[in-house]
Amino acid sequence: MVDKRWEQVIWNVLFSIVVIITLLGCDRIKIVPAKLPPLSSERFNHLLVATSDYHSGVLVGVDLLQSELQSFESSIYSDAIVRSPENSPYFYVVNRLGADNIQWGQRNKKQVLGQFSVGRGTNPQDIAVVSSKVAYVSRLESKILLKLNPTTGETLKEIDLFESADSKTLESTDPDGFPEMTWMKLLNNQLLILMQRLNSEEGFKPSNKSQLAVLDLATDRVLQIITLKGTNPVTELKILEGELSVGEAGKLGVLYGGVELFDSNLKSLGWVTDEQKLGGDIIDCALLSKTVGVAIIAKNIYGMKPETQLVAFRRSDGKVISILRDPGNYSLHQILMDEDRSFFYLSDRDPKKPGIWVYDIKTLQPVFNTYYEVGLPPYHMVLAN
Amino acid sequence: MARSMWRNLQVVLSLLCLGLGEVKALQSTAEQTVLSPIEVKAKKKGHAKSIEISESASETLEVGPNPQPSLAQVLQNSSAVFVQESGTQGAPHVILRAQDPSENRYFIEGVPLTDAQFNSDAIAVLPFQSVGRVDVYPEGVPAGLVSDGLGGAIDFHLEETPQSSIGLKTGNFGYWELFGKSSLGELNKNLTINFTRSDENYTYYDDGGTPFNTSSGTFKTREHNRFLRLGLVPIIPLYRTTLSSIRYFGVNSYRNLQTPGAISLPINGKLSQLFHLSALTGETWLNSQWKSKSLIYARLNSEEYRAQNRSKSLSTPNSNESRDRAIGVRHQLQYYSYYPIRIEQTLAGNYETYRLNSLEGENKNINHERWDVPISLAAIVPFNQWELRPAVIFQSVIYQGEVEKKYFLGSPRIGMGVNNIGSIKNLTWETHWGKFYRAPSMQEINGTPFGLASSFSLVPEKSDKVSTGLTYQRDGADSFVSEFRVAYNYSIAASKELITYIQNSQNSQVATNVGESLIQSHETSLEMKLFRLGIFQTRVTSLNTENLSALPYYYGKKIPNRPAFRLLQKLGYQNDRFGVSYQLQWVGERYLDLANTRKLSATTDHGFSLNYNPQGWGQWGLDVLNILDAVTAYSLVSGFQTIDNTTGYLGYPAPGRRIYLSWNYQL
Repeated sequence: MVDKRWEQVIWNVLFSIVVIITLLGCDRIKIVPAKLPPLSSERFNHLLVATSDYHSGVLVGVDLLQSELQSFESSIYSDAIVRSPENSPYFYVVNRLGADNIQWGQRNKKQVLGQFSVGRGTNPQDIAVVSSKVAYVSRLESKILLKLNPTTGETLKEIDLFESADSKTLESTDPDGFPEMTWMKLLNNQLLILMQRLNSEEGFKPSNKSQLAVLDLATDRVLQIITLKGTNPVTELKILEGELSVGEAGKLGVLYGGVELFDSNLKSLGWVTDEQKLGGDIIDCALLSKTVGVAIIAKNIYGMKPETQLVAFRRSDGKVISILRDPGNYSLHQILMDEDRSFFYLSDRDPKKPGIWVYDIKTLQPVFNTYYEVGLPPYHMVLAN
Repeated sequence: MARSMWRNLQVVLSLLCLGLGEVKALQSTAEQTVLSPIEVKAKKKGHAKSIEISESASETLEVGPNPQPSLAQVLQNSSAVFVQESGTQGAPHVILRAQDPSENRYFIEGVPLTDAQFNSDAIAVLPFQSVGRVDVYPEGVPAGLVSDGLGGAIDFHLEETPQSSIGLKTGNFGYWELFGKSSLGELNKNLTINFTRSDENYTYYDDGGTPFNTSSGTFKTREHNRFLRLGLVPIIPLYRTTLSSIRYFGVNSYRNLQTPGAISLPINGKLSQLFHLSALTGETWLNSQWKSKSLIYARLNSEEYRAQNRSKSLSTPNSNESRDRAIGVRHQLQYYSYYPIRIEQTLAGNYETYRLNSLEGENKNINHERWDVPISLAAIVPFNQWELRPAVIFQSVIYQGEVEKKYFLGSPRIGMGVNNIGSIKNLTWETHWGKFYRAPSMQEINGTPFGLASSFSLVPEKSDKVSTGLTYQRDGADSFVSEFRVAYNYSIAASKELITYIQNSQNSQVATNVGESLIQSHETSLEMKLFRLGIFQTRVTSLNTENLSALPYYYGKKIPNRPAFRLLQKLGYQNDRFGVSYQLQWVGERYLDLANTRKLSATTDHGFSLNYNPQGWGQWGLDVLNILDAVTAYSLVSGFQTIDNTTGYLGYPAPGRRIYLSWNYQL
């Protein structure tokens, strides 16, 4: 009897030691071992992530089926975004101000295969790849939209939006002479281009209006210029069930912005929610369904302790339902929808634990035990096949 | 709070008055006894011991008037120092015992130079012709200088009996330097004027920011590198007897330099800096064993930044000018009795204000203040063939303004020196242990208009340091080897809460307490003089670093810009009229970033110097630096080999081959 008791004590002690060692060792685990549900998607089974500590940049792939990190044989610039067109085997990295170039490579080979410049000091922002031979590049410090071959870098056309606009709605009186073209979105045979219209001579303050240009891909002419409800659109253009949304932050530190919604005819439906209701400056946002949306907001942006929060809001009245994540620092950066899996990914640049959280769209809860540590803090992520 | 600070200040001022007042009181007795202070007995040549009390081993370097050396050439004579000049704009990179150059502390006659954003630049305000002696403390700031700091310390001393002279130095890259020293008609009174200008534009290979497909890169001309400095250093002895002295000195410097920003960015700007320091020092022997030393100083550092393409600062919102003012007092009481103990007690008070302004009128109107009240006690306890050197500093640091916080910090240290080990004459063993700290600077907390964003939550950084070393030195005046010195030193430093500058955007950095590091270094040096004319000097340092940062993506990586080894080889010949020397620096491979994705290969830097004194026609010098014109080096970026610019990286050659011709003439 005594022996059995002692035996139990020994087993308990051994079990406790194993638990303690496991807990102590958790800090060293680079990728959380739990896998996502093995939900294969014909469209996307990978995440491509441009990571950066603002000094070094590394491109990382995450195999969503195997929960494995994939390293790419090339560094990228420390200020870069990545694109992976749905029906293309290639990926593209836009290396922004300072590098001013595009790198392209093949996802399967995990290699960068080429690089070309898009103009010194032009600060490229986004690339919209129409085919393997045609792409458009928006540049913050140029009023020319570049149409080029995304493999060779050969310029096919320089499109001056001021000249190609049929209507007079596109004012050329931007204070610094640049419309600050940023994010783009391909929609049917059109290219949507966000124009922030900031004044770079005054610390990139928003000017009187920001706009959305609609370019006809067949003629490369501006079909329509839409003046946004707010100014300074900072989020990517996101489409859910035919509805287009964009987050407009206005002047940082002042809660004038909101999330603007457009119908399938690009008619503005006004704010879905605004910064007053959200309680902070919009960093990123996404509509998850017809009833709910999420946003990353920034608080105390010029204060002693700036911080970010992930909040869920009700679309009917725009009010915050709940705070989904409050890391206590300025680290939440991007929301990426994965409609096939009913997830959204949240990038967290927390210096002490940078990585990507996975949230269930239906429950608005993090998927249990799933968190991708991708090395350097994630800066921009896209889904890839 | 303010009341208690005022009380502290009153105490310090009273002591200062006591120090200066004693001078007056002793005027009548000044002629009674001529003492032989210990300073006078100290050896002052190539590697003499420091004449200050220091708990760690130190070196005093004489700045010879002929030929007029550069700061880098003088510091290179210390076995614990590696110096690499990187152009003429700022100060050279000074690496003291393999520590981070930004952790070095610089003083002039014990007055801390401005706590600038990037500390090494603090010495760029000083015209070097006015310097007569340099004290090097590789292990840390000695307790007597009552200043915080994790790295080593360098204390510049102005020439005590300067000779009037004029000089000219010119070279490529538009370099011109003119200086003049005048005794102003009275012994020991002196004025040094220095004017320097250069244009550092050079050609470099631009790979477009990414290494892949370098064929898309081109050679470009790096512009916006002009530099101008006007310096003025007056030294005025106000009172002097054999027992007492009072002296005024000042450092005035106006610098105007273009700032090209990061290598591949089109952003550039202009920095204007106005620096003024006025100091009054007094010392007196109270009796044959007690000495009182006092110092009072006022310092102003005003920096104005104007970006060429953007009118505002890139790092601190609504500001493009910063102004830093400081006043300080220090009083030292020294007990000069070699047996049984020599003691030095120092009490100081420093008050510093820092303000960010907008040149467009949108002032933030916030004055940031910092109070420092340090007190230290240092002693030398001699035994038969060895001595113990305990020391301790306590410092109270109070910040007021947008950020309000206070710290009470302590730093115990102990040094030990043993002479003639194992009855081998001239073999010495030095060992030193200390806990060091550094409270964040006002610039690190509140930001600067010049690329550093504010970081309100910074806390002091701390480091435990141990070093031990053996030195054998022999002076055989008449033998073939007239001077011989061989030394080995091992040091280890474990640092916590390290203040690290992290890039937080393309154009700005932020100081953050994220760092822990472990650095081990081995230093070996061999120096010889043959028949007192031939010079042979070899120094090797090997480094092993490990970043113990709390950030997982930096943990376990190598610390950037710390090469695995450095080798310095110097060969030369010098007689009374003619001298020639060749110098090689071989710097090992290193990582350029904290994430260790960019690795630069080893580089070599060759230099050549010639000096000639035609007697009556002044002293002539010719220096050729970076003879092989190293501008780029191979680097490895995530497996791809590419070439990278060496310029701008710590310790790499200045861009392009540099040729300087100098002439100075004793009046």
